[in-house]
Amino acid sequence: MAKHTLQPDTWIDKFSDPLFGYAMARINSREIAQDLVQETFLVALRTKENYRGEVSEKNWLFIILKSRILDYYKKKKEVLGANLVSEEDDSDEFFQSSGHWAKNARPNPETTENMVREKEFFSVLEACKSRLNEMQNLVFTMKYLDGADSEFICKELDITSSNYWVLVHRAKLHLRRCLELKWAN
Amino acid sequence: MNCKEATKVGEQKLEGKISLSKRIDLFFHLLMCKYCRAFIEQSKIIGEKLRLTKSDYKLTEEEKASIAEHIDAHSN
Repeated sequence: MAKHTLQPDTWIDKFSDPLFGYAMARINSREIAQDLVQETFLVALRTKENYRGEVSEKNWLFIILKSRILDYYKKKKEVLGANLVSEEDDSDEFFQSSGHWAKNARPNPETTENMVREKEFFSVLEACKSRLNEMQNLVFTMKYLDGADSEFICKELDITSSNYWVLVHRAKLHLRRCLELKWAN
Repeated sequence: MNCKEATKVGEQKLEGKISLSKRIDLFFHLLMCKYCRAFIEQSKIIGEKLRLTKSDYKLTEEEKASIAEHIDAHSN
């Protein structure tokens, strides 16, 4: 079976844009995304002796980038750590004290139609996601963009499962309402 | 089960992680509550769309040149 080989000379032309696009979808900063791509190439050069040719060159670079991104998530969580306290006790804008929907927060069933039909959905979704608080956004990125399960996310970010579900629940409430409001105007 | 719990349990159900008794509670809540039904249906769509997120951001030629420079500096 033909093994893959590395051709570092071609990396920037062939792989810098796909790697950058992947990083940008997860990290809302051109500067950081660019740094991560650069770091990926440097780590790849430094460790190229370990490359066994079992995965394609492109996949190998992506494996390195993903591990850099995971490190970035963890550092980010360290910084945000203090803000992690359960938000559930905060005065709740979505629910009454009985736990029923607050009058002005009730989901509109007609929004479902818009979600399915709306052509601009992705750009609206991206805008709404970027308005989540950073910890919610981080958990959502790992859950949906990276396809990570809750055990993995809790372990890597060192949060409890109860914290995780509060974050996911709040993030969904905010995101859904943001989408609904965009279409209401 | 109230709406606050139902929407949270509904999220957990999307990940397939709830007990039978919660599943039953949720079922009966949703039978009566159109708002929570809408929430969960829309939540599912949001999740599906988020999974498809792609970005078409590209590096500028200057940014690429800067990366190339850094790599050269380190590889010698």
